[in-house]
Amino acid sequence: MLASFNEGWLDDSQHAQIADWPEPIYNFEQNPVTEEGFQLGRKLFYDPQLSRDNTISCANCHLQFTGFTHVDHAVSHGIEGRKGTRNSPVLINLAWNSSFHWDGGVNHLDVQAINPIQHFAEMDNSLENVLHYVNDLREYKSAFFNVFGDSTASSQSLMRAISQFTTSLVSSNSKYDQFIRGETTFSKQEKKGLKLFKKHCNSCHTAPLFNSNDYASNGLPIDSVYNDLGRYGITKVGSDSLKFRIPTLRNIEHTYPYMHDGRFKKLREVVQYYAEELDRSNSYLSEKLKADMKLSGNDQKDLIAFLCTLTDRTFLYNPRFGFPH
Amino acid sequence: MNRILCIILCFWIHSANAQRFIEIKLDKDSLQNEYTIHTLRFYLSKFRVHVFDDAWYDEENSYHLIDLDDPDSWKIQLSKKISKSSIDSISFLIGIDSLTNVAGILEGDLDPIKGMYWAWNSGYINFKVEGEKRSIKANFEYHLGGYLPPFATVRQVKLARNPKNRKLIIHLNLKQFLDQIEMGELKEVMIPGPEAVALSDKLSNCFSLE
Repeated sequence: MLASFNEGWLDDSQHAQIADWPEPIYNFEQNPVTEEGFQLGRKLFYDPQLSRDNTISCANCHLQFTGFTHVDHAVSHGIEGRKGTRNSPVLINLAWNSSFHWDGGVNHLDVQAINPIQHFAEMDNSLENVLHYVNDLREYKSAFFNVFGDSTASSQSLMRAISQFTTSLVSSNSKYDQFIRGETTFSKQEKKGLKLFKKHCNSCHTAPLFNSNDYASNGLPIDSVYNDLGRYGITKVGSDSLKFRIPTLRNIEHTYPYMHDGRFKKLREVVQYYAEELDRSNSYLSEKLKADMKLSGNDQKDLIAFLCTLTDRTFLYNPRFGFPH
Repeated sequence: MNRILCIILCFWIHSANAQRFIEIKLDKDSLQNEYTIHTLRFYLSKFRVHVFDDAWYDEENSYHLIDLDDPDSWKIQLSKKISKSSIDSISFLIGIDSLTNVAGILEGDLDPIKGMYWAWNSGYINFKVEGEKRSIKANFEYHLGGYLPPFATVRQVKLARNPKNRKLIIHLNLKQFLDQIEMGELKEVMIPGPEAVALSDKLSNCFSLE
């Protein structure tokens, strides 16, 4: 097992076997990951022909080197420069997520990719068109036959192929993971940061996945451009107003800008927001954020030093997850 | 009666060797007196045939997309033979149950490619009707769906059989449904929420058994 951690990726049989991690939520029995299926999903993920004008692939907004998000873009854009309304989420450890998108509107990974394919501001295509395209190409037909036993792709096999790739994007070999496994040591500053993290952050961004499958309001004032009410847009329940999914902090050093609308460019701005700027009398604030954080300038630096230990270079630079050659 | 738009689901359950199927009949003439229908698609699912007192038969994999534009969808084959005389009542869902809504990517009538699926708020559109009300020259679009409480929109209908009738025919009185909507105020419903719930309640009362 440890040998494969050090290689930075997991094959299909290893999803459920990471020590001390919870069981994945994704049902691998329904869609068992194979090498051929992974490679098919990877090919689809990097194929710009999935977009209506053949210009963008999934990877345009989900770049590997930045944790599969759209680095330096507050909100992402699709074909013809059309702008979306949210910061593209990272694709990290998706098999442990119970919902997807900032508002959690997508309830299963296998139906997520329908969204970017169809969204006007993303690929602006249709499932029908994508199926026609892959079903016309010999290389895809043989790949679909090898993986699903049918050379004609269906919505189901198309989506499951993509999931075979995206569930394989497992990041579990950061310095933090190595520290937990006793393979490396933390500096004094990183240890102090870890202590502060456990006290102030871990109840929502819970180790080892550093997320929660839940929604919370972190008190950010509503953005003036999009008037994005988050979870409320899905449930229409008043108490869900301004709640967003609690994202993973793995590889957070590289996934800037931050928050659902990308309003913070630097990690120090994020920490400073929670420590100093957050209005704790705010009525819609998550209960967990109502206690004072009291982080000195040095504390904030220590916390950031810890957050940087969540960077997993064997994940970010693993050629297996990159453009297929 | 001829002013009433009826989609007739003929639930013919023959004894012995006969085929069993649900047939849908549509009277377009009566429809056009007041409404022009451009699109009518809806799911009927989980058919249960109640026999005698407490026994029943559940149709397997019972998810049926009924589409005005697809004549083939007007006939639904059932998988089991049941003696007609023993049937007390039938029940079914208008729409798709919550478990199926969270089951990921499905096939057949449940394939998202059928246009009855919301991707951004994953889940099925249970009932979709689009058209025009001629008297007020207003277009309407009602897409009813949503499975999350408190705005769940799937509705169960249970209809008792009149022993005198040889055939089991389910009517959907679409005119009755549309007449209940203040179209001047509510021209469209495209998302889950309280409006979709209110219309789903109205819709569930528009089914009857001849």
